[in-house]
Amino acid sequence: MDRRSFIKSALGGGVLVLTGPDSWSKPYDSVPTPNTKAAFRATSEAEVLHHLFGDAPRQASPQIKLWAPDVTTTYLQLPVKISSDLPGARAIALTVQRASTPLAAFVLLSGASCFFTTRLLLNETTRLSAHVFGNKAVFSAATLVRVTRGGYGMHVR
Amino acid sequence: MADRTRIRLQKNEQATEVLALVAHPMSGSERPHDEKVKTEEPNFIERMDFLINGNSVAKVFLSPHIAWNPLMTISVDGVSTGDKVTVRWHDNQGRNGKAETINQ
Repeated sequence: MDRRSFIKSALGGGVLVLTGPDSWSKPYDSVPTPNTKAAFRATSEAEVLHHLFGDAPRQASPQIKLWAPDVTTTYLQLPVKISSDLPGARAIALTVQRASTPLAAFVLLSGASCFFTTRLLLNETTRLSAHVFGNKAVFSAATLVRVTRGGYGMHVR
Repeated sequence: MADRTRIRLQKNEQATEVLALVAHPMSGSERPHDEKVKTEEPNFIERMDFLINGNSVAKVFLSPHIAWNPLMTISVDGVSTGDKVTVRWHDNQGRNGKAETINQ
Protein backbone atom coordinates (compact mmCIF):
# COMPACT_ATOMS: atom_id res chain seq x y z
CA MET A 1 0.00 0.00 0.00
CA ASP A 2 1.45 3.35 -1.00
CA ARG A 3 1.58 6.26 1.40
CA ARG A 4 -1.33 8.23 -0.11
CA SER A 5 -3.84 5.35 -0.06
CA PHE A 6 -2.76 4.42 3.47
CA ILE A 7 -3.52 7.95 4.73
CA LYS A 8 -6.87 7.95 2.90
CA SER A 9 -7.93 4.63 4.42
CA ALA A 10 -6.77 5.72 7.89
CA LEU A 11 -8.84 8.92 7.64
CA GLY A 12 -11.88 6.96 6.47
CA GLY A 13 -11.55 4.61 9.45
CA GLY A 14 -11.30 7.57 11.77
CA VAL A 15 -14.55 9.00 10.47
CA LEU A 16 -16.25 5.63 10.98
CA VAL A 17 -15.09 5.50 14.59
CA LEU A 18 -16.28 9.05 15.23
CA THR A 19 -19.76 8.50 13.83
CA GLY A 20 -20.07 4.98 15.23
CA PRO A 21 -23.32 3.24 16.14
CA ASP A 22 -26.15 5.46 17.38
CA SER A 23 -26.01 4.05 20.91
CA TRP A 24 -22.52 5.47 21.45
CA SER A 25 -23.87 8.97 21.56
CA LYS A 26 -26.30 7.93 24.33
CA PRO A 27 -24.16 7.11 27.35
CA TYR A 28 -27.06 6.63 29.78
CA ASP A 29 -28.43 3.43 28.31
CA SER A 30 -31.74 4.17 26.66
CA VAL A 31 -32.15 7.58 28.33
CA PRO A 32 -31.84 10.22 25.62
CA THR A 33 -28.81 12.29 26.65
CA PRO A 34 -30.44 14.62 29.20
CA ASN A 35 -30.01 18.32 28.59
CA THR A 36 -29.86 19.28 32.26
CA LYS A 37 -28.95 22.94 31.65
CA ALA A 38 -32.02 23.50 29.48
CA ALA A 39 -34.16 21.46 31.88
CA PHE A 40 -33.21 23.62 34.87
CA ARG A 41 -34.06 26.75 32.84
CA ALA A 42 -37.37 25.34 31.56
CA THR A 43 -40.52 27.08 32.79
CA SER A 44 -43.04 24.24 32.60
CA GLU A 45 -43.11 20.64 33.76
CA ALA A 46 -43.73 19.32 30.24
CA GLU A 47 -40.74 21.25 28.95
CA VAL A 48 -38.56 19.85 31.76
CA LEU A 49 -39.55 16.27 30.93
CA HIS A 50 -38.95 16.88 27.24
CA HIS A 51 -35.40 18.12 27.90
CA LEU A 52 -34.63 15.23 30.26
CA PHE A 53 -36.35 12.25 28.69
CA GLY A 54 -37.16 13.29 25.13
CA ASP A 55 -40.45 11.97 23.82
CA ALA A 56 -40.59 8.88 26.05
CA PRO A 57 -44.21 7.97 26.93
CA ARG A 58 -45.39 9.20 30.34
CA GLN A 59 -47.83 7.60 32.76
CA ALA A 60 -48.81 7.78 36.42
CA SER A 61 -47.70 4.71 38.33
CA PRO A 62 -48.38 3.37 41.82
CA GLN A 63 -44.90 1.82 41.71
CA ILE A 64 -43.38 5.26 42.29
CA LYS A 65 -43.53 6.24 45.95
CA LEU A 66 -43.22 9.94 46.72
CA TRP A 67 -43.40 10.94 50.35
CA ALA A 68 -43.51 14.50 51.67
CA PRO A 69 -45.35 16.07 54.61
CA ASP A 70 -48.87 17.32 53.77
CA VAL A 71 -48.36 20.69 55.44
CA THR A 72 -45.27 22.82 55.89
CA THR A 73 -44.33 26.42 56.60
CA THR A 74 -42.25 28.92 54.71
CA TYR A 75 -38.65 28.89 56.02
CA LEU A 76 -38.98 25.19 56.98
CA GLN A 77 -36.94 22.53 55.28
CA LEU A 78 -39.31 20.01 53.70
CA PRO A 79 -38.02 16.42 53.59
CA VAL A 80 -38.89 14.57 50.39
CA LYS A 81 -38.35 10.87 49.72
CA ILE A 82 -38.67 9.11 46.37
CA SER A 83 -38.37 5.36 46.01
CA SER A 84 -39.47 2.73 43.57
CA ASP A 85 -39.06 -0.97 42.92
CA LEU A 86 -39.38 -0.38 39.19
CA PRO A 87 -36.86 -2.65 37.47
CA GLY A 88 -34.35 -0.86 35.23
CA ALA A 89 -34.84 2.62 36.67
CA ARG A 90 -32.19 4.93 35.19
CA ALA A 91 -33.07 8.44 36.33
CA ILE A 92 -35.21 10.36 38.84
CA ALA A 93 -36.53 13.90 38.45
CA LEU A 94 -38.25 15.94 41.17
CA THR A 95 -40.39 18.88 40.07
CA VAL A 96 -42.23 21.66 41.90
CA GLN A 97 -45.30 22.59 39.88
CA ARG A 98 -45.82 26.20 41.00
CA ALA A 99 -42.35 27.57 40.51
CA SER A 100 -40.80 29.72 37.82
CA THR A 101 -38.38 26.87 37.05
CA PRO A 102 -40.04 23.61 38.15
CA LEU A 103 -37.07 21.21 38.15
CA ALA A 104 -35.72 20.86 41.70
CA ALA A 105 -33.37 17.88 41.36
CA PHE A 106 -32.34 15.33 38.78
CA VAL A 107 -30.55 12.07 39.61
CA LEU A 108 -28.82 9.84 37.08
CA LEU A 109 -28.51 6.33 38.47
CA SER A 110 -25.56 4.29 37.29
CA GLY A 111 -25.39 1.58 39.94
CA ALA A 112 -27.48 3.01 42.77
CA SER A 113 -31.02 1.80 43.53
CA CYS A 114 -34.05 3.91 42.75
CA PHE A 115 -34.04 5.80 46.04
CA PHE A 116 -33.44 9.47 46.70
CA THR A 117 -34.14 11.86 49.56
CA THR A 118 -33.51 15.57 49.86
CA ARG A 119 -34.89 18.67 51.60
CA LEU A 120 -36.76 21.40 49.74
CA LEU A 121 -37.76 24.96 50.53
CA LEU A 122 -41.24 25.91 49.29
CA ASN A 123 -42.81 29.35 49.12
CA GLU A 124 -46.39 28.46 48.31
CA THR A 125 -48.84 25.57 48.23
CA THR A 126 -47.86 23.37 45.33
CA ARG A 127 -47.92 19.93 43.84
CA LEU A 128 -44.66 17.95 43.94
CA SER A 129 -44.03 15.33 41.29
CA ALA A 130 -41.52 12.53 41.07
CA HIS A 131 -40.69 11.15 37.63
CA VAL A 132 -38.73 7.94 37.21
CA PHE A 133 -37.33 6.91 33.84
CA GLY A 134 -37.07 3.18 33.19
CA ASN A 135 -38.00 0.69 30.50
CA LYS A 136 -38.08 3.50 27.89
CA ALA A 137 -40.95 5.27 29.66
CA VAL A 138 -41.46 7.89 32.37
CA PHE A 139 -43.49 6.85 35.44
CA SER A 140 -44.76 9.58 37.72
CA ALA A 141 -46.32 10.16 41.13
CA ALA A 142 -47.48 13.42 42.67
CA THR A 143 -48.48 14.81 46.04
CA LEU A 144 -49.88 18.14 47.21
CA VAL A 145 -47.97 20.06 49.87
CA ARG A 146 -49.82 22.92 51.57
CA VAL A 147 -47.58 25.77 52.68
CA THR A 148 -48.91 27.76 55.63
CA ARG A 149 -47.71 31.06 57.02
CA GLY A 150 -46.22 30.58 60.48
CA GLY A 151 -47.97 27.24 60.98
CA TYR A 152 -51.39 28.81 61.72
CA GLY A 153 -53.27 27.20 58.88
CA MET A 154 -53.28 30.22 56.55
CA HIS A 155 -52.33 28.76 53.22
CA VAL A 156 -49.91 30.66 51.06
CA ARG A 157 -51.36 30.49 47.55
CA MET B 1 -13.17 22.17 52.46
CA ALA B 2 -13.44 18.63 53.75
CA ASP B 3 -15.08 19.89 56.94
CA ARG B 4 -18.01 21.21 54.89
CA THR B 5 -19.00 17.74 53.70
CA ARG B 6 -19.93 14.74 55.81
CA ILE B 7 -20.88 11.20 54.81
CA ARG B 8 -22.70 8.62 56.85
CA LEU B 9 -23.45 5.06 55.82
CA GLN B 10 -26.59 3.31 57.06
CA LYS B 11 -26.88 -0.40 56.47
CA ASN B 12 -30.30 -1.82 55.77
CA GLU B 13 -31.10 -5.48 55.22
CA GLN B 14 -30.05 -5.48 51.57
CA ALA B 15 -28.76 -2.05 50.62
CA THR B 16 -26.51 0.59 52.09
CA GLU B 17 -27.83 4.13 52.31
CA VAL B 18 -25.26 6.86 51.68
CA LEU B 19 -26.15 10.15 53.41
CA ALA B 20 -24.23 13.25 52.35
CA LEU B 21 -24.56 16.50 54.30
CA VAL B 22 -22.94 19.66 52.95
CA ALA B 23 -22.68 22.94 54.86
CA HIS B 24 -23.78 25.33 52.10
CA PRO B 25 -26.09 28.39 52.06
CA MET B 26 -27.96 27.26 48.88
CA SER B 27 -29.21 30.79 48.34
CA GLY B 28 -31.08 31.32 45.13
CA SER B 29 -33.74 33.14 43.22
CA GLU B 30 -36.57 30.92 44.47
CA ARG B 31 -37.08 32.64 47.83
CA PRO B 32 -39.17 35.77 47.35
CA HIS B 33 -40.01 35.89 51.10
CA ASP B 34 -36.36 36.25 52.05
CA GLU B 35 -35.26 39.86 51.48
CA LYS B 36 -31.63 39.12 52.33
CA VAL B 37 -31.38 36.28 49.85
CA LYS B 38 -33.20 38.26 47.15
CA THR B 39 -30.38 40.77 46.90
CA GLU B 40 -27.63 38.17 46.85
CA GLU B 41 -26.20 36.38 43.84
CA PRO B 42 -27.64 32.87 43.58
CA ASN B 43 -25.23 30.42 45.15
CA PHE B 44 -26.21 26.78 45.03
CA ILE B 45 -24.68 23.36 44.54
CA GLU B 46 -25.08 22.42 40.90
CA ARG B 47 -23.88 18.87 40.99
CA MET B 48 -23.06 16.14 43.49
CA ASP B 49 -21.41 12.85 42.53
CA PHE B 50 -21.52 9.62 44.55
CA LEU B 51 -18.71 7.11 43.91
CA ILE B 52 -17.96 3.64 45.25
CA ASN B 53 -14.28 2.69 44.87
CA GLY B 54 -13.91 5.44 42.27
CA ASN B 55 -16.85 4.26 40.15
CA SER B 56 -19.78 6.64 39.83
CA VAL B 57 -23.08 5.22 41.12
CA ALA B 58 -25.20 8.37 41.01
CA LYS B 59 -24.95 11.91 39.67
CA VAL B 60 -27.25 14.44 41.30
CA PHE B 61 -28.03 17.78 39.63
CA LEU B 62 -29.55 20.41 41.93
CA SER B 63 -31.36 23.73 41.77
CA PRO B 64 -31.95 26.58 44.26
CA HIS B 65 -35.20 24.84 45.35
CA ILE B 66 -33.05 22.68 47.63
CA ALA B 67 -32.87 23.97 51.20
CA TRP B 68 -29.68 25.22 52.86
CA ASN B 69 -27.20 22.64 54.15
CA PRO B 70 -28.43 20.03 51.66
CA LEU B 71 -28.81 16.46 52.86
CA MET B 72 -28.97 13.87 50.08
CA THR B 73 -29.49 10.15 50.43
CA ILE B 74 -29.02 7.46 47.82
CA SER B 75 -29.13 3.71 48.23
CA VAL B 76 -26.59 1.27 46.80
CA ASP B 77 -26.73 -2.52 46.73
CA GLY B 78 -23.67 -4.65 47.30
CA VAL B 79 -21.38 -2.28 49.20
CA SER B 80 -18.90 -4.51 51.01
CA THR B 81 -16.66 -3.95 53.99
CA GLY B 82 -13.58 -1.94 53.04
CA ASP B 83 -15.20 -0.22 50.05
CA LYS B 84 -14.38 3.46 49.72
CA VAL B 85 -17.39 5.78 49.40
CA THR B 86 -16.73 9.25 47.99
CA VAL B 87 -18.98 12.28 47.57
CA ARG B 88 -17.88 15.22 45.42
CA TRP B 89 -19.76 18.45 44.73
CA HIS B 90 -19.30 21.81 43.07
CA ASP B 91 -21.43 24.95 43.16
CA ASN B 92 -22.22 27.60 40.57
CA GLN B 93 -19.55 29.95 41.94
CA GLY B 94 -16.74 27.46 41.41
CA ARG B 95 -16.35 26.18 44.97
CA ASN B 96 -16.13 22.47 45.48
CA GLY B 97 -15.84 19.87 48.19
CA LYS B 98 -15.22 16.22 48.74
CA ALA B 99 -15.56 13.65 51.49
CA GLU B 100 -14.54 10.03 51.72
CA THR B 101 -15.24 7.20 54.10
CA ILE B 102 -14.50 3.50 54.29
CA ASN B 103 -17.40 1.11 54.80
CA GLN B 104 -16.76 -0.62 58.14
